[in-house]
Amino acid sequence: MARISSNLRLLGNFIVLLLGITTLMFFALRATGDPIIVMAGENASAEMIDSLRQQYGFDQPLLLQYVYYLGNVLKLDFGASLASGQEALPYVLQQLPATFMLALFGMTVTITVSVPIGIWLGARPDRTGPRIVSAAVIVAQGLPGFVTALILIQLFVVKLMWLPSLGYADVRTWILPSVSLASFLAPKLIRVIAANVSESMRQEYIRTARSIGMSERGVLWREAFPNAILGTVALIGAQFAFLFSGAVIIEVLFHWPGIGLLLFESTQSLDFPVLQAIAFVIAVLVFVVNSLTNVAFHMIDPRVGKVIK
Amino acid sequence: MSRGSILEVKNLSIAFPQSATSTKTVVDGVSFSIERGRTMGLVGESGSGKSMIALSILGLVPGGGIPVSGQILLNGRNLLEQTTSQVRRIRGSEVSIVFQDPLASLNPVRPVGSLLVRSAMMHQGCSEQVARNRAADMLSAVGIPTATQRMRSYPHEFSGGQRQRIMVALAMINNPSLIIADEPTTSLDATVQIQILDLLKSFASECSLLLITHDLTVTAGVCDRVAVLRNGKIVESGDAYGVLNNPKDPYTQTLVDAVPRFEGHRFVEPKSLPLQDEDLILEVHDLDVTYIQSGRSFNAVEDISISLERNGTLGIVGESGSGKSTIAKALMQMVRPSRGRVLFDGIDLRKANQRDSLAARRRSQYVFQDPYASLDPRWRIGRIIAEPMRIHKVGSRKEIREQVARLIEQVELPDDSIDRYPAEFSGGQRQRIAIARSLSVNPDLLIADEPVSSLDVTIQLKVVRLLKSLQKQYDLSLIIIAHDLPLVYQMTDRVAVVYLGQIVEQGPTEVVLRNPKHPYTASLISASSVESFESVADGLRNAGESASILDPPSGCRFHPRCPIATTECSVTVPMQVFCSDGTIVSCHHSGKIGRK
Repeated sequence: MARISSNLRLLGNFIVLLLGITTLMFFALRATGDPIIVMAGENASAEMIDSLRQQYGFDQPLLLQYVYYLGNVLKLDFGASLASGQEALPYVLQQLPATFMLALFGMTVTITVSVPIGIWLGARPDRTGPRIVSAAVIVAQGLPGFVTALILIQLFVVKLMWLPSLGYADVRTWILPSVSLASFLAPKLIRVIAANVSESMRQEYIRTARSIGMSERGVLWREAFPNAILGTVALIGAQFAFLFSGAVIIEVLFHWPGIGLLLFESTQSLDFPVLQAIAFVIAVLVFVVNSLTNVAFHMIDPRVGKVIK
Repeated sequence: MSRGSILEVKNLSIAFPQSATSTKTVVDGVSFSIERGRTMGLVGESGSGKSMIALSILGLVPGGGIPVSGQILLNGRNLLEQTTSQVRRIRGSEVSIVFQDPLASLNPVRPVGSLLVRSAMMHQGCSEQVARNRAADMLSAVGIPTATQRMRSYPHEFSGGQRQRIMVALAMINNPSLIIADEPTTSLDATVQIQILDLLKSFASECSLLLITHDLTVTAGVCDRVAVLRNGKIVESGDAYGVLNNPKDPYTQTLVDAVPRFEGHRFVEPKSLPLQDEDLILEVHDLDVTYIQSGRSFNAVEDISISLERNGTLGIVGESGSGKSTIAKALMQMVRPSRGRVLFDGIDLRKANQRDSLAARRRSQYVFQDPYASLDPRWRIGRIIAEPMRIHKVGSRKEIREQVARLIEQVELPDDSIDRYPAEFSGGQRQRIAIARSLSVNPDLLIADEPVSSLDVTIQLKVVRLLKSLQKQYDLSLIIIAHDLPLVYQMTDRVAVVYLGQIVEQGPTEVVLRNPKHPYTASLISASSVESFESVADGLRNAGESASILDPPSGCRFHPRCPIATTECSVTVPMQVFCSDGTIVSCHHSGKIGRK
């Protein structure tokens, strides 16, 4: 009973969210500029602009446009790209795998780096080594991702010429974007894991584990770690959602053919249909990731979602 | 020392460095020994160093072994001279410990079986399968039903008493020669306390037990020998019966005197019939409070009817989970009753307009159980005490300042407290701060939820005296919620006993606690180990813990645990019987309880 009603409520929230996003996109985009002028180019005549306007339906009253637009959104039809003429939604979906792969790789690197460092920092926060590293992590957290990316490109592509910089086809081109993303996401994750581990290590159940003669290593990994990782599930989910929404700057810098790059290009050409389709796709993705995070949380934490006496 | 000594502690001192030059000594030259199969009590208040001694035997003193000096001989070996890995082999196998708070001591996200299995594997060198069987056997031995299945359950799926049983199983799984129990029953209900102590005693015949406690009644019931600790030194030790009945040292004397008893000074004469034509500050009629959990609704409390005379004191007693705090919350308008009436000084709180209801909130104040959690650590004391006055917009700045200063004086806190932070105060002082806060708006009714249960005995007594004297000064009506019967006996004129959301017996305290008519009341009194009632005490020891409020038993809710229950009890809900001595009792067999 309770489960069904909570799922229904979730679905309701989802629909409201999509409606809100599409509506907001529609009006916000129309406030930013006139795409017909951009399309027609600087030397276009007034007649040409008018006919383009008619062709794309921009001569209709705004509210009427909105109603048409909503009706089409229901059919998942966002119209054709103003730039390329392709159907907007399939065009966007075609870019999705690249973004998805980048998110997966970026997150894998982030987690692989963050978990051991975070645990190491959290286990003995008072020692000199961890203290120095902690300070470095705080500094790293303040470094914007694109700065790291530019440094990496300078070093490995331009100076050392070890790696190609652009594109998607060669697996070697995946390294730098993933590392750049990780350098941006990892410091936050490391700090949260470290804080959770050191918090867990202060709990009384750690004393219990020690009292039965468990080794420090066992105490850390068997007792403190599961608790610490619980508190990071939400953050990892949020970071995933962030990556799915397109790491715009990274994709642009590395010319990565994902949603972020498309978003960048479509913004420049005021390609309404594509921008609206992107917003729609991102909203769906973020919702899915958040729901999955929630499910993961329910599966991992034995205390959530059950009757507590 | 005799040949049979399991543990010999010689000249043990523990001193923590505070700065480059000074140290703080928490244990100072302590020596004692425990013989095979015997039980020794280490008694003292918090801060006396008793827990530090326990940790030092396990090698768990913070800062490693550096602050510890002296000798700790376990089976003839000096533990302080062992290497870290040797100590780890001894921990959990030769000596083990049961800590105070079983919920905090068990990892919330690990199945309870995992540590048991781990411990058996580490110390007995057996395979995981063998260890699993051993762990399941151990869990059933401590009284966990369907132990094999429950190995996979998590700590939150057990009751408080069961969790402590699991801790005992963990301590026993490798047949240690010494078990240390550090306040093992302090966080448990009275009836569960005896069950855990019985369990420990039953194992103590096979090994030795070092029981660390502040509770002298517990010591008297369990220990052969006792040592009284004060400021890190043993002030008196010897045969438990002798020391507790005939204390030589003045400090032991104070401790013994501070134990609340039923005998001794008493103040209020029992009244005849209650409730009629009296000046009542509070009347509650047929109150239900309904909660919804996971889509199911259930009544946390049901059919509650109580009343409180102006300037009177009412005790509400019951085990945790019985609904006593829910009643208090309903009186404070913190939860909305689903049925019934609450009249505060004649005002029906359910029908009251916003102004009246706010006024009622000002006139009834609350003192919480945990003085550590209920004071904002970032606020200065002055601001904490003044907060209710600000909320209710009482008085000018100057008046508020004067009132705060007056209150600090009345609750006997140091004058300079106003600008200090809660962290600088002890538990007892914090509770004084909480009391001062509740009094700042001159309430007519004070509800104190377990006001002293987290404090040391001697501190408890002082806070109780303070509450009583403030009650006179402020013309307060008082509701004390407690599980500690001697405290209720000392403090209250009327008492209501709550079991699984219902009042099973109420009346003048003197009558109810001296001549209980409901077997549950009798069992609570027996559990306070001052008086015994035949047919009840022994029955209850085996009867397990309270059923769940989510799924209350049919008929009389107490019948599954009741030693004198008959078929009728499991079918028919007992009626309320109004007795001539002023008590109201709901039991089919209310006359059948005799004194031992």
